[in-house]
Amino acid sequence: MRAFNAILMRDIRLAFRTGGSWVLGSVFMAIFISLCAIALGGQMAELRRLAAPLLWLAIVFSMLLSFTTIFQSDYRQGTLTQIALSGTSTLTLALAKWAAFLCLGFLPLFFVTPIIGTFLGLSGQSLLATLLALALAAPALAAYVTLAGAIFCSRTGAGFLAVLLVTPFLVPLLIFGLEAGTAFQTEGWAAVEIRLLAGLSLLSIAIGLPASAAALRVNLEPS
Amino acid sequence: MISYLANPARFAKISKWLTPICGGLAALCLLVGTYIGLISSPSADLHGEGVRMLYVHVPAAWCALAAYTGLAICSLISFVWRHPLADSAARSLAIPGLVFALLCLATGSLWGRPAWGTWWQWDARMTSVLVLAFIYAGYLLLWGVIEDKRKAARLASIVAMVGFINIPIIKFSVDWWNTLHQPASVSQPGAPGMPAEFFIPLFIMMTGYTALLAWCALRGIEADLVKLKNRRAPKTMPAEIELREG
Amino acid sequence: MTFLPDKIDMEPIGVSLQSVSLRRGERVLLENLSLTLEPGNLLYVLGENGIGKTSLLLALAGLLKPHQGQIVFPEGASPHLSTSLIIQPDGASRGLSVAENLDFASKLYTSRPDFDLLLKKVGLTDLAHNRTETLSLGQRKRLSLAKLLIARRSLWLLDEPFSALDTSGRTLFSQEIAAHLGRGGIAVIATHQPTDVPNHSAKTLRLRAAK
Repeated sequence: MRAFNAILMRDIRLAFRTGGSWVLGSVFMAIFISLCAIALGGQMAELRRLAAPLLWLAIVFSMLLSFTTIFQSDYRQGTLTQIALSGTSTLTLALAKWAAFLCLGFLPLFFVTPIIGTFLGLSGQSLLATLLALALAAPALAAYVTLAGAIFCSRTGAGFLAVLLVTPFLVPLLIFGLEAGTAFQTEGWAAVEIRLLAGLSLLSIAIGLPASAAALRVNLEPS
Repeated sequence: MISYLANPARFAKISKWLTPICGGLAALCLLVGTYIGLISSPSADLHGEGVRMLYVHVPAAWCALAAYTGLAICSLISFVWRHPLADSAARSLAIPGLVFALLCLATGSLWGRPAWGTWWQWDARMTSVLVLAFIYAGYLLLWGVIEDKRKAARLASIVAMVGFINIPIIKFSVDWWNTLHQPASVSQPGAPGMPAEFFIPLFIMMTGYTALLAWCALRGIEADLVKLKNRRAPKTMPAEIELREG
Repeated sequence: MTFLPDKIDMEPIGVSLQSVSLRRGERVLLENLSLTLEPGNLLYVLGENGIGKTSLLLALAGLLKPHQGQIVFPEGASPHLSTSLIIQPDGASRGLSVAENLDFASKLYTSRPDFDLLLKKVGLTDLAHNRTETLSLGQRKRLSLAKLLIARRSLWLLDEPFSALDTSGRTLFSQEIAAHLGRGGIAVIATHQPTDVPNHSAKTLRLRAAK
């Protein structure tokens, strides 16, 4: 627990100090949504219908593309080795890094979603539903991004491959995330999709984090 | 069983007769199945001559899934016992697996042209197979991109196991999504309640495909074994050690 | 519980290597190395670059699995609980100051040293609030030494500890190593040029390329 806190706080401190890559995700999201709106012709009625899926895609890709921020610099500086040698288990390390990524890679996106959503004509109940679904799915998305980071922590320039590797696992989250958003608007909390999404999220964490820990153990061995 | 087969010498002894049998069975079944399927079996009322696509399409889908199951089992063995034979088996299953998945997609698309009027439909099964093809592609590329092959083997086995847990979830979610968005408007290849004259060639083709899959895996392991044997002799000599107590 | 850097409590342990063979990929480095290290032992691992000195340290740290043979720690000890490793890259985080790096290390090791004394001891008091990327190599070595003192591990694995250090740094390192040995610790130093540690006899393990 102490090690978990130490790693989490250190990552947050470092992120604020070394030139805010955590802001970049939101910028990416804004640009992505703008491009979509332009490509789709800019009709508000059309955009409102597509708002939730577009926001989801923007967030998923923004998170995926920042997978290198999780482990890569720590790997190169030898910090991962030192953390492992301090007796901290790789699972604790993966957990702490996952939590840090949720704070740095997801929360900023979450906070700008209402603003970017208005550019797509999203408001009121539908915005609330989208935010809720995003909040439920985010831990799972972060778990898979952590996995990608752990697998490629020793390798630079694996961006496309990481996206290819992890995207198939995100299909169920994407499907149920969007369904949960729609269902919430009509059925409220009772919607079965909400429960399915929550369950799926828990399951993905239970798969993704131990797998990340295993991948870290592999990468900690000298080659 | 695992440790029994994991011995390279014993494996070579078994594969010496098992590989030709699989290869022969595959060739025989595929020839006979193709003949029956393409020429001697009747065409279906609903789908016309297009039904013959079924004899390629359904076994391909089955084999793509079977190959992944095998791959995941081999990956588990490789991850737990770190045996190089399991690695080569897993990797040798991935290539035919990807080919079968692509074959399934291609024939499905060819089938879809007369049945649906388009080359592609976001039908639940086709979508699942497409995602499976992506998983295969990612798995194989991971092998390619990581230089240290022992690390690549272990990372790939982790990914394969995560994928294996995810495949039923993906299938379930895609089915759910599909029923919501396009309620059963299309007839699907391989629907239940098939008459026997379709079933027999299908069964023969299925056997042939499975044998082909087994043959691919065995050949892959054999090839890796040869490589392993050639590599046995260490390239460098160990350092001379001189220990002096203080 | 705060402790002063000169009063370090730790459990003295011994380690033994039993017919250890080391490989890196296809490269065979060492074969059949047997060696016992007892509390207070100092071992120099000498040899040219690329001969396997660092690999031996990594194996002792539990990061590199021996191809054959085993490295035996006593009950209750394990590489991840009993060793500290100084190696390149040194694990200091870019963007954090010296003090913050030490704070992070102390949290990881659940060890609460007197930071002011510690900084003074390794000669980094003036640099406490400078970021690690502004430090020179020798200063980074001093930072690593401070972390070594924080970790309070009994097996010190040092890869070229004396390189890039000035004279006072060298003296500081060898004094600290001597103090560690005096407390019943073990030090394994991989180097191509042994430096004397005061009042201590040393074992040497010389690795030579086979002809």
